[in-house]
Amino acid sequence: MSTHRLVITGANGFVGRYVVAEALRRGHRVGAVLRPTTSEASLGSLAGHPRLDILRGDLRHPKGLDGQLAPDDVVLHLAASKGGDFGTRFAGTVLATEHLLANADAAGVEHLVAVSTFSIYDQSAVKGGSAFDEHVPLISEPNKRDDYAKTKLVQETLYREWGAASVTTGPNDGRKHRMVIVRPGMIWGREELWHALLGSPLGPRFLRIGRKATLPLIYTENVADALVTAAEALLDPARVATADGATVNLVDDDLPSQDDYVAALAAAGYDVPASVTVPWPVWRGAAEIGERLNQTLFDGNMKLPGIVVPEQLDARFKPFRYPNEAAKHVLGWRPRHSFAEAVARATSEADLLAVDTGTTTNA
Amino acid sequence: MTSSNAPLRAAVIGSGAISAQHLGFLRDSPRADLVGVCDLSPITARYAAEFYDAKQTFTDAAEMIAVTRPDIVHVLTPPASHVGLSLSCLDAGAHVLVEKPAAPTLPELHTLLDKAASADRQVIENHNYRFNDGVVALADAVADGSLGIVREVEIRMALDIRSPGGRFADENLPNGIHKMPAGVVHDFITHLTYLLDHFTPEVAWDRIGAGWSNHGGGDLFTVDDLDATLIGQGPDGAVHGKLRFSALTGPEQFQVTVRGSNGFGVTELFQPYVELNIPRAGGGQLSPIANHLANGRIRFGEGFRNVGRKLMQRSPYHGLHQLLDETYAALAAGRPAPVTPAQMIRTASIIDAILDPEVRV
Repeated sequence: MSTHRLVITGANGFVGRYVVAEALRRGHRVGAVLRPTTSEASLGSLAGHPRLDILRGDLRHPKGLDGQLAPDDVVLHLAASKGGDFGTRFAGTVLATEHLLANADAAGVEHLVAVSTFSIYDQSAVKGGSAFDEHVPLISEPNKRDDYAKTKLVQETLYREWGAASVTTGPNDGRKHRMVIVRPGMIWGREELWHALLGSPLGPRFLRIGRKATLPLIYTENVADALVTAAEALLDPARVATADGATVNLVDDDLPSQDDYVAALAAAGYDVPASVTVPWPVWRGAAEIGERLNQTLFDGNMKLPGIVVPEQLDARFKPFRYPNEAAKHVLGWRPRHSFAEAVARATSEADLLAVDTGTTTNA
Repeated sequence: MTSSNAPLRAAVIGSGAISAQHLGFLRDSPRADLVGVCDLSPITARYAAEFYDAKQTFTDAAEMIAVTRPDIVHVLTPPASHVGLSLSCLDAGAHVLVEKPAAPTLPELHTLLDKAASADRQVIENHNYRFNDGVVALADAVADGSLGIVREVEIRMALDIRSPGGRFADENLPNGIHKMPAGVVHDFITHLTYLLDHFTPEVAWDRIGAGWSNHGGGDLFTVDDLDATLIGQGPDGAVHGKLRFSALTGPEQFQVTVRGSNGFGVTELFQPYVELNIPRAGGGQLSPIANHLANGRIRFGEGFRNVGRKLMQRSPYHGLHQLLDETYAALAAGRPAPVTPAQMIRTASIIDAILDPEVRV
């Protein structure tokens, strides 16, 4: 009988709630990490589930989860800061991860599902139209990317150092840490249907950049499925050798183009914002000219908005193909919902977090 | 000890938000050799060291000082730790450049400055806005007599510090500044006060009234508003001072107004401009028109220049770089730094005075 609990940071976030729901559905005991002032009601219909423990702590504090983790917990680290200035993001992403891993070390935790992001890849280093997989190089010039990418890049350094180390206390003392790093593409779902890979707000309208690029999407319920599957892979003697130390991208199977995505939302009744569409080559070309002028006239010191910075544009709009074979092989995962099903679910009234409160568990 | 031709060996304690401004100078200035960065968080210290080319990283300040033997240490930690860390640095023979407030109270500042004097070292509190272009321009207008005798100085700061998600409004991880005597305003009161002192250094403030309020309510903020009036005597007669901090008014601004017997000048430090309303050629009746035209031209031009400043990343912290440059030059030459103990004591004295329960309104 397993005694493993899945501890999920960012449990009440956009993705976290779906991960909690999926873990509960599969019979796991779940530790949902909430900040001290966050209401349990933020977990919606999941609140009060008999296999749900609430762990209180702010990971920005060194002792955020001190004393609340157990050696057999599997930590799924989703929490990250997606807003604010660099300091805020650094604290919410990098410091939070440093503290979490230190708290995990103090508890003798062995297993970690480390959530990273596509944002740390250097899309500018890869030829447009090529296959975009785990072999794409990571950012080499962080200053040309946004604060989210910079902080997530540092976070992954912490992940890798932890993954290479061993447990130093408790019943798992001496065992090498077991960790899998997952890099989801753009996560979309009911709460975030319109996203940054389509363009940017431009006054009262929306500036769409490009139409035909394939979107590296993963639907919320699918990413939740993948993360719980990753945790289970680390616990499965038959799969752990493949999963441990692996890094996998997470994207769905049938990825739509920008136009297809917008059309699908519109067909499902989503109120698509009034937009102006600029072809990708035109916008990218203009940004390139701006960058060259910046380099020539201002020695590159002019700080332009991200929407005209070539490297940041490439990270959002450059067209690629997105295989997901590594995730399927390493995790044994298959996207549960097709794009059409995902659109239907995301735009429906169904309770996507519904979980049977029965006490049957796999624990 | 380092000779005046060699860069000063510099170390930094605390790699939080403000450190970027200090570290940027230390990386780029030929006057400084960044020998160490210390932070309780190893990854924060590592990141700072990598980004700003520091030679070593530490998580223990005493160890860093012992290993790197710096000429000067920048103390950039939360205010409650400033005095203790600064004293340790002085003990080790280093000058100290400390973020504001150097000490939470005047007696503690005296302890710090006495220690510095006995160690033949200098403590420099960050008075960065004294060195901003706009403040320098107003000081020049005072010095050349354009404004006449200074009669009133108003320092006004408006900051949206209560918005959810901001570093002061975080209920989950309350900012330590709320425990300072002036609450969150203590993070800014030094700026307001040293700028008042900048234009009124010889004034003895003998009538003071200070309204400290928590207009936004709640338990996290003890204070979010200051409205202080000071009246004093200078060498040329009466002077009025006004210190105003508001969390409820917008847009965010940091405005310095100096009114003299001949005219007045205004500068805004967040969105920089300088206006002078002074006697102009043409005499009394034409001066208002001439001032309108001159200041209109200035405001029009500054609108475009501020776009340029934003794009070129010339921030309101440019005064800090000037302060650091002058400080490093002075220390290397064995001269007094541009922020003096006397200025720091006057600043802390005003803060203590307006915090006195006896003057609260």
